[in-house]
Amino acid sequence: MLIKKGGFLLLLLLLVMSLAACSDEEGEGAAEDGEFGGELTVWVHPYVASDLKADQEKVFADMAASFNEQYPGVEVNFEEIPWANREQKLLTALAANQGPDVFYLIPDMMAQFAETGVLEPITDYIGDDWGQDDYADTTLEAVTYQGDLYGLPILREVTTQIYNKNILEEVGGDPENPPTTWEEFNALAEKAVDAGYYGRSFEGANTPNATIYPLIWQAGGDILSEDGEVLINSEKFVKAFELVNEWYKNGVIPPDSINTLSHFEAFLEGNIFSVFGTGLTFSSMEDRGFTDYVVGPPLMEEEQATFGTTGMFVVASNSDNKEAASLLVKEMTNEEHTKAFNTLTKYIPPRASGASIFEGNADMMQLTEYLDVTKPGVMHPVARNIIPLVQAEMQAMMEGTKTPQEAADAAAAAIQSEIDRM
Amino acid sequence: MEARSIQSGKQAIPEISRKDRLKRHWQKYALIYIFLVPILIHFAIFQLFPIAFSLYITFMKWPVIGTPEFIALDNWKAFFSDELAWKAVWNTVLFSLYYIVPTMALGLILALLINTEKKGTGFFKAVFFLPVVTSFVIISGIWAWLFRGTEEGMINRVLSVFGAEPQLFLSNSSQALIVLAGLSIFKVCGSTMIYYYAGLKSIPHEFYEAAKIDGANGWHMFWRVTFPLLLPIHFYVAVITTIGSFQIFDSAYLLTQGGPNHSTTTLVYYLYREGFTNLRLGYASVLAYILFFIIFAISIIQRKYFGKEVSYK
Amino acid sequence: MHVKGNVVYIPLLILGFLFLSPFLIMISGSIVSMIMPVGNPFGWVLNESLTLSNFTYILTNSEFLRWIFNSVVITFIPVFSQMFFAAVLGYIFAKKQFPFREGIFWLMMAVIMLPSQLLIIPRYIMFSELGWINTYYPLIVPEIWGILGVFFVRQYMMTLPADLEEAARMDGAGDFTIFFKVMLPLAKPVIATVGTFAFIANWNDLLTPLIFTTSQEMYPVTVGLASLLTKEGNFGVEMAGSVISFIPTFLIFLFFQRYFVKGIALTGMK
Repeated sequence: MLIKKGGFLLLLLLLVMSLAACSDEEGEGAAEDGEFGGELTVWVHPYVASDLKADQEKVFADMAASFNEQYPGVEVNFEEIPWANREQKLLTALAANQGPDVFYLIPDMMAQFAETGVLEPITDYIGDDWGQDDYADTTLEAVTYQGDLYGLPILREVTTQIYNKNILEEVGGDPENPPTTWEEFNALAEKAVDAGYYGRSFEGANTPNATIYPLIWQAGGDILSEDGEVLINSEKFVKAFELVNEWYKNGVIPPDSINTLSHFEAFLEGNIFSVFGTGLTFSSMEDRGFTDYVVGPPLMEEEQATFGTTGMFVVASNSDNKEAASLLVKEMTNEEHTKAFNTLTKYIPPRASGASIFEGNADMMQLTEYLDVTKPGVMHPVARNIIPLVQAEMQAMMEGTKTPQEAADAAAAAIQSEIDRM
Repeated sequence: MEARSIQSGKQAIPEISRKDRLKRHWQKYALIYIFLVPILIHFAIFQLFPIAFSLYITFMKWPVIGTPEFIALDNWKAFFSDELAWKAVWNTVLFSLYYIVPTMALGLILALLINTEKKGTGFFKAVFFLPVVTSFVIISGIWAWLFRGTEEGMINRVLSVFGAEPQLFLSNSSQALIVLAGLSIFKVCGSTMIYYYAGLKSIPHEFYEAAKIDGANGWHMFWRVTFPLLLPIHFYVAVITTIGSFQIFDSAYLLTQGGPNHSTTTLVYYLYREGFTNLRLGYASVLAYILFFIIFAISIIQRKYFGKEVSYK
Repeated sequence: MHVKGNVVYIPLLILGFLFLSPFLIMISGSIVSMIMPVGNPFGWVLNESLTLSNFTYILTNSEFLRWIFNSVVITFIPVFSQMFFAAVLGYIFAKKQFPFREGIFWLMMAVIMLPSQLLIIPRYIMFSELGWINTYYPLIVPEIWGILGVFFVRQYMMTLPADLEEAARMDGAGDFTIFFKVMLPLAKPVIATVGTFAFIANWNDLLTPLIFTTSQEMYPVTVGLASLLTKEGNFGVEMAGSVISFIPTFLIFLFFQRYFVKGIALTGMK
């Protein structure tokens, strides 16, 4: 009986294996005489709350319509995928050859995906008339990996200091001229601490893009160099660690900064002088009726810098119609559609020509001014893997078990070993 | 013709009896063919095959995208030089230390209390058992609020009544794991209570009577009679709480994301991160085997040293 | 064991209060409208204005009902099928004679010694090849039976005297009649226990659906609630979600509570 079972088991294994082997592949029309046919699938996400869903669908439908004016043979399908676990879902679908032709990515994911070979460089497909000059250098940096353009940007975010106006006035700051340097900020923050507030939010359990990385850039340093050399324990880097350490010791940042996910509630309740926020923070504050705030510039020590993601559309390397897909990306990100998309979603248009949509909205206008100093994060395939490692070293330092230098060294070693394991 | 009919007659007899035998065989084994055989097939597909497959994966570099590549023992070697993996193992052991004995002790105390069979103990039994059926997610949400690391945190306010300094809890790498263990103790001790309660019920009354005649008071009775007689329960409960403690994941995922400073990165949390965030399925499979080896070793040790059968009769 | 006097109520009341208070905090937090409430949770109910806005918020701004529905699907199908298979396999392993009976049973028992996390990665690869990711299949199909339930029923049925079966057989009953008419009714409490255990395990599971579901519409309530906890940052809303997802558990617990105790006692736990 057991032997029979064994044979059966083997058979089953074969069955499972063969099922695994035959993943269906749909052949789609390729270019014929410069004309395109077939189907293009685009994965998009809910960029707006569910009550605006129909509006978002219209924005995408318009993109498809104007694309079809030029290329009537192509059928464009937009599919909305939820944000959560999208990375895993994309990879699974692409691996099984069931993925989209065009999809949405952010820079560090783009680097990881490009390195795996699932993205198609679009430089050669889109010609020269996609409006290169309309984008800030930092925006193009975010869609470029190892010299190749892998996508075109559709949205940008800018993170900057937002102050509680009442506290700012209480500690003698000028709402018209909020702090611009570490020194100015620290002076006010320390007064805020003396007055019983915390100086700023610092969400240690959050991505380092929202905590330590911007400080490193402000100090003039970087996490990794362009060719993948680890810079994290350079002198300038350590300076950022030291700043956090000082803040923590002096109570400028709350005691639970080590491992908290959100300080925003405490800010809304008026306990914190300043948060590090984006355009979405404005709408959250509006929702909760918090109006006494002042938007300040990203700070600087050696140079002014901050973090802000860049959302882009990219082309899958296993798409059957890469050229049409690339041209669709170009169409989706042109001036008209960029404006329509960002007007609806309240992100910042990556095109300089798009800033006009914020006329009458001083806060958002102000954010667009910082696009030039807004970095896309770490552009390296290990960017996402090293997040918990950098977090951990920063936490060790804040707890006092490591000096800033030791923490920076340990972070550098951890990043290096992650690169070595690629 | 003669011969033929004889022949066919000869054949006819075994034919009937074979049919009959088949019928009898079917009657006897029908349940097995209908229910056990499909389950065995299911068992082979969803248990045996994945186990064999997981061993195979450990020898591969298995990215989610792209072709898997045979790398022999590299994943296993990587484990031995991976400090974070060892830290995850150590954190898991530490968690067990914080968790097992309190869970057993509290479970036993609760069982003794409800075993007094006073009026209303049934209600309390239900109350103590309630966290067992509640999901980690719900309790974690409440726990996060209770153990906020600022002065406004509920537990910190209680502490301040006793003049203690506010604690950081989940933002402190030596406290975070204890807070998580506390959550698990709260969640699980109701079930150890049930095990102990059943054990207490099965101790024959004569033992207490005999001890009473010897003049033992309640305290002595507990340590001389009840506690030793519960040995099989102690063993059973120890095994299941230990195994459970090595699989801790939910609260580390929900409350601390493995931090601060990796102090709540347990083995299963690390496995999850390596497999499904860092997309190293081969290496994550090695971690799963490490988990298995540890659980296996502990079961053997517990069986050897604490598993002595005790008979009441 | 009998303790004189009512002194035992002191620890019972203290512990009872401690065990209940998280639940009371959950309920009172869900009906007051505060972003991050501080102070005495028992005071909120008295001092704050009560509101159901947290509940309406969560029901309109998330797919909470859908999550509950998903949880029901991936819980109740395995629960009933596990109860059934526990009963029939328990009977087969306890009472039927067939080759390799003990071998098969103990092989199955040995496999549960393996941590379930060992199966997750190979299953993830298998299921993604089969196109099962983000469907109900990976959460239902592997769970349609469980060896622990079989073990419970087997242990119980082994304690039943052989005469029971003999007598029925004398009356001309076959296996099916014996199983359905004699054994099944007797084993009801054990089977109910198997069902309650299965309910709790499946309803509360986080890791498996976290890995096998990728879209919000497929989340069970555990994963959905977890996503609220990490992003909502509004205590009242979180607690409202907790209350809703707690109700089914609580009802099951209320009606089947005794089966836990009975079932565990019956199996003898040898």
